[in-house]
Amino acid sequence: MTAGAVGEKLLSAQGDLLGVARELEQVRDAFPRRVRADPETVERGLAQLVLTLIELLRQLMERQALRRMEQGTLDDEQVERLGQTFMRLAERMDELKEEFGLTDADLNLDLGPLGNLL
Amino acid sequence: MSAVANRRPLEEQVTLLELVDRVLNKGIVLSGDITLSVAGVDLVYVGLRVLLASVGTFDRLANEGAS
Amino acid sequence: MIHLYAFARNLTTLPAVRGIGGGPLETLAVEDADAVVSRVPKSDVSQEAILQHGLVVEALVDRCDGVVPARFGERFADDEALRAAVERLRPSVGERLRDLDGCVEIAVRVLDARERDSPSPTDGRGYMRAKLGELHERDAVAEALHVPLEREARASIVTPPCAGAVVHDGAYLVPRAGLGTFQDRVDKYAGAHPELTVLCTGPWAPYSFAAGTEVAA
Repeated sequence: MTAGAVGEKLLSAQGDLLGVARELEQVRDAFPRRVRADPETVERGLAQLVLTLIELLRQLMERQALRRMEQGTLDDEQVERLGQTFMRLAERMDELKEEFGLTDADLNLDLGPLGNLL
Repeated sequence: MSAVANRRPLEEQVTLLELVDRVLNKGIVLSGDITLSVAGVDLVYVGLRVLLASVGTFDRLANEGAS
Repeated sequence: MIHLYAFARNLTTLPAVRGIGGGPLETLAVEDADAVVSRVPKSDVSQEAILQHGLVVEALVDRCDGVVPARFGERFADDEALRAAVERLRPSVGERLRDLDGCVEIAVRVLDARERDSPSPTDGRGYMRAKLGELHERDAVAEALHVPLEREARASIVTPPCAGAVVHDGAYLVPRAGLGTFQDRVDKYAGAHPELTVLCTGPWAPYSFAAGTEVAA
């Protein structure tokens, strides 16, 4: 079975497929792969990799915290501190993205790597 | 990005991503390598312990561990 | 190293697809199933390898009575190690093949990509409450989809969505005979919610339902 034939497995699709692709890529892009960079943009390539991982971990932590909050195993002060931290983390992520000239699309990364599997 | 990338229609790319996500849905930790290449020259091989799990799988495993 | 792709019952012939790194696929008979493997020169966890693993498993589906996919990364130093592991797994594989008989996996994902016009919280608790509210909203939307689908499936696994646009991420074990009805329910839900993004793919080999057949690392 070829990679092309996998396309037949689409049973129904409605709406923002690009958005779905980006959600799915979040995991795939934590994997080992070739990080391409030229002398001018090597920092950017590294930043892209690191920020993707940080974003993944941030979401994991936030969700863990929300679950604990739901279960009622956190007191008010803990919830307050967690909320403040996550807000700060989100702000910091925005700052870092701006510093390196990266967009959300860059972090969830391009569909390029799959295209290279041709 | 080169002209080679994104040749596939979006539906196909999404389905391939689905396949990759299914293959890895068990939550595996593997050691792996990253190759950092500059100007087309492979320079650095970095060993990594990579958490190969969908965000949800990790969460589910973490909660199973806690209960 | 020897890489394991899946166990296949009553495999007719091996598919014409290559293994990871281009090596040929081989089989090791295991009672009423075959372990499908290939030799790989070195440890390869690249995206290409992951995809190739999936393509091999999918190629097996139509050539046999049932497939129990192995997770990516199950590798053995030599034939001896493979044989020992397979011997140990034989009962679980047999059991799993019976459970999965006649079924395929269908993946259903729902996203809500709409912009949220919520006021920015000033304090930590406000932020957390808002996030929790979003999660609960998504849960309700997902329930409306999941409950009818669950009725058509032999088993299902729902992955809890994270704080993104994902509303529902479900894997369903559906008997082949019931695929039409299942698909209709998905389409009906999608039609009733044009504001949502709905993605349904399959039939896949039952990756999500192969519990108990993993080799300890």
